[in-house]
Amino acid sequence: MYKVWTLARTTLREMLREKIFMVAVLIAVALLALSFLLGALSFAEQRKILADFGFMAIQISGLGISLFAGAYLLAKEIEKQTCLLILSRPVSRAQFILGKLFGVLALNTLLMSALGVVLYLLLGLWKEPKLFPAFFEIGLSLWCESAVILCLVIFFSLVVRPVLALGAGFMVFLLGHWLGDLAFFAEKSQEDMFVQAVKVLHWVTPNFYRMNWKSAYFLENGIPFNNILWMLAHMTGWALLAILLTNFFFRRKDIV
Amino acid sequence: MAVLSIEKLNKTFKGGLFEKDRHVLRDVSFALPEGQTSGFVGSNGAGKTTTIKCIFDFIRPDSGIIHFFGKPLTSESKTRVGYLPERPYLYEFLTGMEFLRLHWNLCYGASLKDFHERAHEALKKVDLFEAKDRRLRTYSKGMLQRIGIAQAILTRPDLLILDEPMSGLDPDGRAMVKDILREEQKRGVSLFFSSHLLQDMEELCSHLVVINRGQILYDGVLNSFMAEYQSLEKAFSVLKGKEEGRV
Repeated sequence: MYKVWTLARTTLREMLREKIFMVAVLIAVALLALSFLLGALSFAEQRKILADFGFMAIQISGLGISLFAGAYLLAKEIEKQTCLLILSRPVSRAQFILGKLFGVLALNTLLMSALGVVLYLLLGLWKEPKLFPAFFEIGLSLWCESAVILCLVIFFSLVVRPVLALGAGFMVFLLGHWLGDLAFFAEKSQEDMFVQAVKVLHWVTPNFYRMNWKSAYFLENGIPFNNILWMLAHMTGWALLAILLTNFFFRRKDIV
Repeated sequence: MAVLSIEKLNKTFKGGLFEKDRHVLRDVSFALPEGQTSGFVGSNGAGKTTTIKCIFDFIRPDSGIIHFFGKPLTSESKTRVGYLPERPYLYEFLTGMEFLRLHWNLCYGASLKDFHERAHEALKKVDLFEAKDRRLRTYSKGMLQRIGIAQAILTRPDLLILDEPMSGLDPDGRAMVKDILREEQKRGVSLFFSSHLLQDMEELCSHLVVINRGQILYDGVLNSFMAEYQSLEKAFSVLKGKEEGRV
């Protein structure tokens, strides 16, 4: 386990020392500032607008890091052959994948937590501690979403070029969020093909629609425990599947 | 006992839609004697790097047996082997010291017992002690090659495998690498390094493996190989010519 930790620490160090992290921080801060301004400009429901835009800023930051870091995480190591020295040590390919993955997850956790703290302060939630669990659960759902996208993009990057993996990851994100709407339209259209296609999509896409809690007015309504359990199980399943597939393909890959 | 033995190693790279498959290694077999310096010589594209990559399982061979110290490659045997790839691409965001520590941790876990002593020793050997706190990004090509060698010798391995360790270096750099290899020889380390520069082989090796077009042409004592010819260069070209004549 220490080897995985060593690789994760090195990956985190790389990300923090590279420009990608600074770009992600700048974008996130700009979005948070925008949400604060929009909230201040509106007459009613200032906190809702601030919360909606704030969570969107956190979501975009997490998604951005997952897509860009995930697409190039293994591809860069293989192309630049930096992984050769690591794999010549007593490190298995599975440990290498996990180390790299945990490094990016740690970065996402750091960034999303920091932005979460800023949003918490902007919303003045310390005055209403009973609202903190719901706030935390929304943050957790966004983190889980970014983690699943990261795992999937890493897998995609092993089978297609990084830029295509990035695009595929973004498509999964969009489809995952559109699943509910697609099901609704399929039902209304009564086209058998459409209905069947949406059923297939339900099986091959993580259901981000069902855990899209950030648009709910969370300050009044908490998130039911069953929903949280469902989200954790669903996201863990998808992440594990992606990691297993990544390991399966990476173990067989010739690093030429 | 051979420190590294390879038997009937074969590798074919699948071609694309309109490309033929490339059979890059054909029944490659050789064994490296313990405590000696073995050279792996062949023209560009002969299969040297592919063989070395198969040895470390970076490339999965189609068939063949590879044994380190009489056993298949395991975590235990990996701790006894130092490796330097051709044109080492390193984590350039790390400093020299952080880079060595990464490799130490991957071998020995959290224990830093002996790390500082060994790291300083390796850094002094490659003349990079003063630059140990600089990021690798700021190192010159020669310095990168030397820090690569430092990580290879950091754990005092029993076998050192170096892929073209002197390629692209200026005369001073090459002399320094040769000195380091001679020091490792004195320590009793078994050395295996590839090169297409025959002069390096003559200077450093006692055992030779010659490869051409993915086939082993010679595996044995260097002096016997050279006995009939005045120089290694001549011997190599005659042997290669004979083999290509057959093909």
